[in-house]
Amino acid sequence: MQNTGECVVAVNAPRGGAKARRRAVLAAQYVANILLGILFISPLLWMFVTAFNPIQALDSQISSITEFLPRTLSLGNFKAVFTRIPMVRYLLNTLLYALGTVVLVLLVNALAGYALAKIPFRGRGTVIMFIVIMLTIPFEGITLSLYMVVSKLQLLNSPLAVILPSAMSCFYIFMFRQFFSGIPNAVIEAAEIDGCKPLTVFFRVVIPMATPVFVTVFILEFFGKWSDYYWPMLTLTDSALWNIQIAIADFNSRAEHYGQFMAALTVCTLPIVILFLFLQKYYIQGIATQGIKDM
Amino acid sequence: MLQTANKKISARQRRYDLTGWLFCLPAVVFGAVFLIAPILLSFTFSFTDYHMLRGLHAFVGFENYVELFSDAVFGKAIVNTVKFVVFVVPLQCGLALLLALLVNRTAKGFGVFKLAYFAPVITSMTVVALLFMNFYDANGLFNLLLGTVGIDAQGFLHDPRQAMYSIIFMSVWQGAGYQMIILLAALQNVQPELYEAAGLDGANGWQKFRHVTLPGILSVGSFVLLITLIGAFKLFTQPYIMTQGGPDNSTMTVVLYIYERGMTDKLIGYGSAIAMLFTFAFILASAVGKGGSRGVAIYRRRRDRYIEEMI
Amino acid sequence: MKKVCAAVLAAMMALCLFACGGSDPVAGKDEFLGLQDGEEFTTDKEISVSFIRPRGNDAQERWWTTTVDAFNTAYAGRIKVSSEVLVRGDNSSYEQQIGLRVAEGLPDVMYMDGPYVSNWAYNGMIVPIDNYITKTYLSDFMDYVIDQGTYNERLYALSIVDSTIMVFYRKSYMNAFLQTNPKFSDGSKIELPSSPETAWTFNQLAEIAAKMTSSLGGGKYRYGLNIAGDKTEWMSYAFSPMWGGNILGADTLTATGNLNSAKGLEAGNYLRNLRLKNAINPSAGGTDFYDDGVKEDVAGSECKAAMYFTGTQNITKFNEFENIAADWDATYYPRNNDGSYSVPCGGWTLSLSKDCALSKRVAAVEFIKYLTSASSCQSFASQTASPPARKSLYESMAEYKEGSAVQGGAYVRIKQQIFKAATPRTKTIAYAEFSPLLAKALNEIVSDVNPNIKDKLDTAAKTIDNKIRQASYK
Repeated sequence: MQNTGECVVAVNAPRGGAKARRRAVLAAQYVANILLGILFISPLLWMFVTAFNPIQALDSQISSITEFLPRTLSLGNFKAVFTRIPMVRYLLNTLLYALGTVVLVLLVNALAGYALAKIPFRGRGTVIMFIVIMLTIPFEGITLSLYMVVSKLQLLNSPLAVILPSAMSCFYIFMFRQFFSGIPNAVIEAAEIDGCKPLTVFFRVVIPMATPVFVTVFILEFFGKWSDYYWPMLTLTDSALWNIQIAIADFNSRAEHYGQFMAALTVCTLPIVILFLFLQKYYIQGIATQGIKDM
Repeated sequence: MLQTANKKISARQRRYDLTGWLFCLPAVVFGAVFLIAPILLSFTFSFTDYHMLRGLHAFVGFENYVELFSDAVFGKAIVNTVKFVVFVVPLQCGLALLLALLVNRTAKGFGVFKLAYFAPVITSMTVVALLFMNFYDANGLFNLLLGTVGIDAQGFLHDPRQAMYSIIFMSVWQGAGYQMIILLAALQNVQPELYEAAGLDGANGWQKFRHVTLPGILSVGSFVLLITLIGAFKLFTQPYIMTQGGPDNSTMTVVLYIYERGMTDKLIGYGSAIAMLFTFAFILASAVGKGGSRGVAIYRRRRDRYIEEMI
Repeated sequence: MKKVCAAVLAAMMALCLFACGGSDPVAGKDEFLGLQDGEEFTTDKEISVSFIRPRGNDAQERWWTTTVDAFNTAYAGRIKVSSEVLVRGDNSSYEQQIGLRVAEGLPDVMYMDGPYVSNWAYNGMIVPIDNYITKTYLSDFMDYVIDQGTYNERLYALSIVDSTIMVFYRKSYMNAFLQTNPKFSDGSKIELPSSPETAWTFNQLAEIAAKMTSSLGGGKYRYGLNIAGDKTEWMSYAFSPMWGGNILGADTLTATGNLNSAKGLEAGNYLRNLRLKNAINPSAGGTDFYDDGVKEDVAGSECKAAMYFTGTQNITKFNEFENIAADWDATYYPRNNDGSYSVPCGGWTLSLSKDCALSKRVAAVEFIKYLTSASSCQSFASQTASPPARKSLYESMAEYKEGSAVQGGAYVRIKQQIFKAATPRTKTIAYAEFSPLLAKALNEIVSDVNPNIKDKLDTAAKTIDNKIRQASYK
């Protein structure tokens, strides 16, 4: 009898302990995440909150943190940002460059990726080899001479200067190639037997199947182009053509006060954050699968 | 019979060739003009005295490279870039791993945490650099915070000993979320049976981590390290916006130096030489990286075979 | 193998494209190709002239838009000018941006900072204009203005107005300060100088500034002096006279031994001491002097600097605020501690770029002559409160007349110091290499936590010399 009692106790104890331990771990995870989360987002939160501070006080002599925080919320800074510099034009420029590039990128690289994956043409191996080699060359290594090329082509200070050089990307070609390789040849042959020309096959049959990779490339390139600074800064010296990153970097020296500058930063960030919230799933999927595919 | 067979193949093959090259044409054209031409030109310019305003006068052989050898600022640029890489890669990837482990649950609210960690990645580097430049100012937020706990105001970006570390800190914060997403996917790919098996064998949390998690995400982990490494070497935006390479060239990086010599001083020849060295280093690193990842893949295959044999 | 050869050939051909590209030959000095004074400009069809300038403050922008429009109206059907306005960043100076434009072709007429004339002329970016302007026309311009625009005995550029640096102060705080009967460390009385000969020395200015710093409570100060300016040029401009005119040696191309000479060290220490003595706020913004400015829908906070060491181009900023417009005054740029006097000035100039087609040059110079005409100079000078580049205007403009009471005689003082010791900035073909680096070193000396002044100057000198060598200037 006594033995059974002990047995029961002995069997019960570890189970109860394990559950409690798991709950404790979960609780600890929550606490850690909350703390770290707040830490991570606080700079951006700060930027957002102080953007509403209308006081004409420069940051040169703020002596306590509470002085930064707005006592009255006002949209005045945002208004100032849009009136003092042509912010709307800069936003539109950035949108133009991003969309223009993305459309071209999708077209050029998908065609090439498909050809490399599905069309057994002579010389395919050489092209692939070239692309593999090109993949290792960093953009920063060719910036100077690319700049000279673009200027000799008279493309400086035009949207093309920003759009054309990014059209071909070894990385995306491979991404498309990898994806298209996974399309069963039967589908393509079926379409060919029906008498479709290769281009039609591509546009009517293959592309509809390629939504995932198209979305991924779209997102990667769009978000990348939106935050592009180095190359546009070099090639777009006419301020009417600036994108938003150049504009706020310049605004740094001309903002009348702290709140205004934070408002400018917020205006620059908000569109992309909102877009991100809509495309969250695809964006994260796109990034995440990058690593898995390489496995 | 054989002849007709050959001709048939030929015609089909020719059709393939035509469509294949046609499809590749735009990419080839863009690639030739905007990728291949610049790299060839960069190579050629590095052996000349090309000045942006005064044009190209003569081939000077290896003069630019020899000059680079004794260029103190170039040496500093290399050191600073390496310093940045050495700190950012482990810090950012380590932090990303930590965050991924913390967020690897489908409990309520964890999606919000994921977003919070990813938010800095969405904000462009320019915005982050400007924001932090403000924070690091002598009367900026960070010094105020330090003041409330009684620490003296720090120089941060104005102190040659702290400037690079300030940039490192900021970059780690901005980028960790990106690697976190990749590592998270890898973590979720590790089969739960392996954990159970390890648990049955009596492994505790730490041992599970060491023997199940880490090997499971090894190849993705090395991929993450590689892309962080590559990104870190290209450091430009942060020092350009925040410190312009100062103070005392303590934040001068190789890419920033290319810009300063090539664009600001208009010495395309000299700048191209730096760019070529940078590119060669990259090609070398990529080769090593590819070799490394192939090594990892071989190791993984061997290990999987070993596990199979065991089971 | 074939492919490799093809690639190399392509590269060679591409290279030729780059190396080629000559420019039109430059006419000799005595070849007059322009219009005589009073001669009418005629043409069969309208000539379009492109013009580029940096974005200025509001007052300057207003003048430019009005004046260019007026020119286009007056010359309708003959010349049409299209302006491009470059927005200057803090990091990338206007000059750098123009430099980036060289590859695609420069606009016909360029508004450029005076000291860069030598550099741009040497690099072939601008062409002489003395073939197109008569000597009579030039005779009314100040000597140093002509000197600044001259390189290798050819005239390349002409100014409309000038700029100079003053010690601006707030009358309310200065009067309150003077009423306390302050004295210098040597016992002599502190008072506002009445002539350039008695202007404060740099050391005296430092003393006054340190004395004038007052606490505003809550850890805030109204500093005695504000020396903030742009990051790429201001510090060189403002403090070069401290080197006594020998900042780049006799050949104007040697920094080592001159930039980091004893005088250089003295200048560096002077700036550092301004901070150490709490005379300046190292992270001061540009508006500290008039932060308490009140105007429609802008509420002021507090004035954070009693004196402002800055150029005359900021006067219009002061006048935007009702309370500041009545409260500012200016005294002379300081004398060197050894008593010598040299006032930095030399403003922006108009020049003709190399890419202006030969057939267009007379038209382009018509535009330049219109902008630099007496009436145009006068309107620019008065609307932007800048000293004019023409001698005659100092006589005719009311605020510059001797004894004028405008702004307490501030403009008269501006005129006095210019006539006494106007010195354009260092004339060297290496200005683009020299000035930003010196400005950076001086900025770091002021704002760094614990700078080694000698090191900073030595490094700056070495880097400048290196760049001069690599640019093959000598």
